[in-house]
Amino acid sequence: MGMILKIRQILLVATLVTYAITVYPSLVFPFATSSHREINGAAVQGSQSLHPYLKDVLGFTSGLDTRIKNNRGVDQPIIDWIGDGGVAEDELYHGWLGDTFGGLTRSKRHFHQPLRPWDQAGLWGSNESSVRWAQSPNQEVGRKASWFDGRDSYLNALLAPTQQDRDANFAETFQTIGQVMHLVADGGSVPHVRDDAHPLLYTFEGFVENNPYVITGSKAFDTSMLQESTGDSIATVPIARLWDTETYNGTNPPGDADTKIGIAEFTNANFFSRDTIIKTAYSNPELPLPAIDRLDPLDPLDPEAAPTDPRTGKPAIYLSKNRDGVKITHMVRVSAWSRFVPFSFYFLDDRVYENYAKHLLPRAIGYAAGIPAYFFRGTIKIEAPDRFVYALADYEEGNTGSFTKMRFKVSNDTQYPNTSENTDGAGQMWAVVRYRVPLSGNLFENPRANLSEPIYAVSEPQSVDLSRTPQEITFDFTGANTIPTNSADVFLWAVWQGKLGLEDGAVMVGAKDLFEPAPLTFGNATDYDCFQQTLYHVADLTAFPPYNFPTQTQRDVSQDGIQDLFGPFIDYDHFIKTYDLFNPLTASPSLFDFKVAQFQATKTNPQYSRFVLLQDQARYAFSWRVGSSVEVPSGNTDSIPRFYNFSVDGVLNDFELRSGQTVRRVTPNFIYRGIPTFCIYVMVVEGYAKFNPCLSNSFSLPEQFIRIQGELAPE
Amino acid sequence: MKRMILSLFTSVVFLIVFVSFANSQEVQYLGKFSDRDAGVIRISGQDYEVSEGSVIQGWGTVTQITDTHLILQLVVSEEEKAELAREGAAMYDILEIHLPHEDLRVVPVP
Repeated sequence: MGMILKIRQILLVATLVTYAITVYPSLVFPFATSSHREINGAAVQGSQSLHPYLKDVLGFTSGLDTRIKNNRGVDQPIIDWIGDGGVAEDELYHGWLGDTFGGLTRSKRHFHQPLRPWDQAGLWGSNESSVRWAQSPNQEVGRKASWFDGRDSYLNALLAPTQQDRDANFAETFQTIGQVMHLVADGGSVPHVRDDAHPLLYTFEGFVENNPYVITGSKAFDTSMLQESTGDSIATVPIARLWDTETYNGTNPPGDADTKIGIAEFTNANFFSRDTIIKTAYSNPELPLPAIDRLDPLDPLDPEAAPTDPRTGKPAIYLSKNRDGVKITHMVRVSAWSRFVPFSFYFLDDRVYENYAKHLLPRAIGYAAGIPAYFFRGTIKIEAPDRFVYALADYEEGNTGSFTKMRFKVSNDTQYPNTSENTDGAGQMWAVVRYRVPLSGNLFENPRANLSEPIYAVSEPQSVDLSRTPQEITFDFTGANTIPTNSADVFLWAVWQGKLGLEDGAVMVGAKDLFEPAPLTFGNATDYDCFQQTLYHVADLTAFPPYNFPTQTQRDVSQDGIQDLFGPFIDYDHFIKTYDLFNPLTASPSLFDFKVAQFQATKTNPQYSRFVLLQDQARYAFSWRVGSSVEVPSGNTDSIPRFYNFSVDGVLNDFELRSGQTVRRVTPNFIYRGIPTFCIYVMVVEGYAKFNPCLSNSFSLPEQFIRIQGELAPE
Repeated sequence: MKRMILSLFTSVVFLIVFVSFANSQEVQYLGKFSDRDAGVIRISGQDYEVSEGSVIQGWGTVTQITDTHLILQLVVSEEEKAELAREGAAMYDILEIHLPHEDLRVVPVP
């Protein structure tokens, strides 16, 4: 007896296990996983905004094709991570076992009956609705892949200190976005919105899997839906409206032209699932429409409308829907058995499913595309600060200095769902700088030095009340997060988290590709004067004593009784102010980026000074104010301040992807009197007009410049 | 009678080749012809006309001539890429050098 009982128990367990791994999962499988990969791919490839956002804002040079490696070593393009999300949402874990148990776990949360309250809208009324599951703060089975989990990994990616962490978190982000897209796409699967578990039967999803050509098109939704509060305690983010706007009430079925309607409402109101073919309209309060008694027979003599059934040799009979929302030619098929009994059987065949697919797949694709569009909508505009330069640093010998502060303007530039998506209150803001360093040496000396993989510096957070009006913020990069002046490929992000539109904790990003750290270099080269294409070392006052006709005439080279050589000079009170070419500024003691007390040009060494800056223009300019100057041999003094303005080219040393090839762009340097630089501005007697004939010979004069320390403007 | 002393500033604009370059010739971009897609470069004091496709030893092939820049490209060889990989350096396929028009640095901004 005991043995029999035990055998019965074993059989019972075996039956349950068999049920679990065969029947139950199929109860709740939506579109096949391969179909979800296809749908997600079509959705993101059709997006007008995602690809440029990935490239221009997030810095993924190949957009959706950029490869990212997760922390398990899987290295694949972004579009595949999003596709993987479409698959993973049905999996508890990866692999076949995951597929099987996914049906037991995650997939039963993929239903939403829009005519029920959201807390009862899931499968059989007892499981969580997909609308809520998408925003569940603590998904308890499988990987956590709600909207909020995606947002957390997005913020982690943006603030990650290493490329590895950044990539791993971005992989998580894109996969999670793909999982939420899956849930939206399921709203275009009829059983999932009519609470039909569809056990073990060929259904619409099977048809789509067997006929992937139907995964095409895109039906846009009215983005104003994303600006309507849900009022729900769990599904708080307005993406919930992609499923359910709570507009359809059972009597107002939406048509094809209706775009301000949730996909679950659209699907529920217009289509049958295999087990929900309702005969009498409004007989079932949860499924009032469509109904057989609201359909019309198709002309059985029209071979296109009613093709021959190969099994009976007679025309197949279909009913069409010509009212109550979407018009569908082949809405349901009437079984041939109906001729032999006093009532009719109805079923859905491939011709019906093909009709359905034409309406449902474009909407599934278009609505799924709303997830990444809304996720990545928050855009910050970064602009140069009023002072023009983003960062200033002292030059240190060997180019070992660093930027410790960065200043720029930020404003909300969000354009989606529309330009009225404003922030509300203060949020946390970070500045993040990506850069590379040379594997050896100094980029001012050797701009072509091989570069490292990207390095990231993250500022201390700031509390910022972001708005549409630009405001200037200074970010602190002290400690381990300083940005070396010896760096290249500099790219800046601003990251903000706060309330955007109706979403609390939204993440916004802005980006700016900066030019590379550039040394602005100034010097006094009046130790030499040029006369008739010859350089004279006038700082050698023994060889060239002060002109005193007729006893000391060494400075009258042409011996015509007129002094030809002058200098050296000492110049005092230098102030340098950089500016945008379209917004000129004048350097002064109260407006400057850099100042130097004086420059001399002695017999052995002329003097120079420099500072390093970060800015965002291909060409910019600076104003140079010189307070006074004294000619050393004569003692003549000019105490009237003089002003000079020059333009400067931004320094390039970065990477750009063109036609699948990585191009490294470099601005070459040169060396002037011992100083490696990209540009140098030196004082010479009578300026360019007199000195130009000697200029090329002045590069390698034996007396090399020595550096004196200047002073940066206070932050 | 003494000449009036004027001390002015000017910018030094010549580019010279960095010593580590394979070719240490000096190259300056003097500007683009107004009537054709060609420019003038100066190498070691000698002027040459260049157009797209011209090859400058050690600097690469001229790919673009604008009023502001002469752009040259050097294709990175497989051996050089292998060396980059061995060093753990960032990889690239093409080195593009942007030589600025020298006059840009001496024209005062109004």
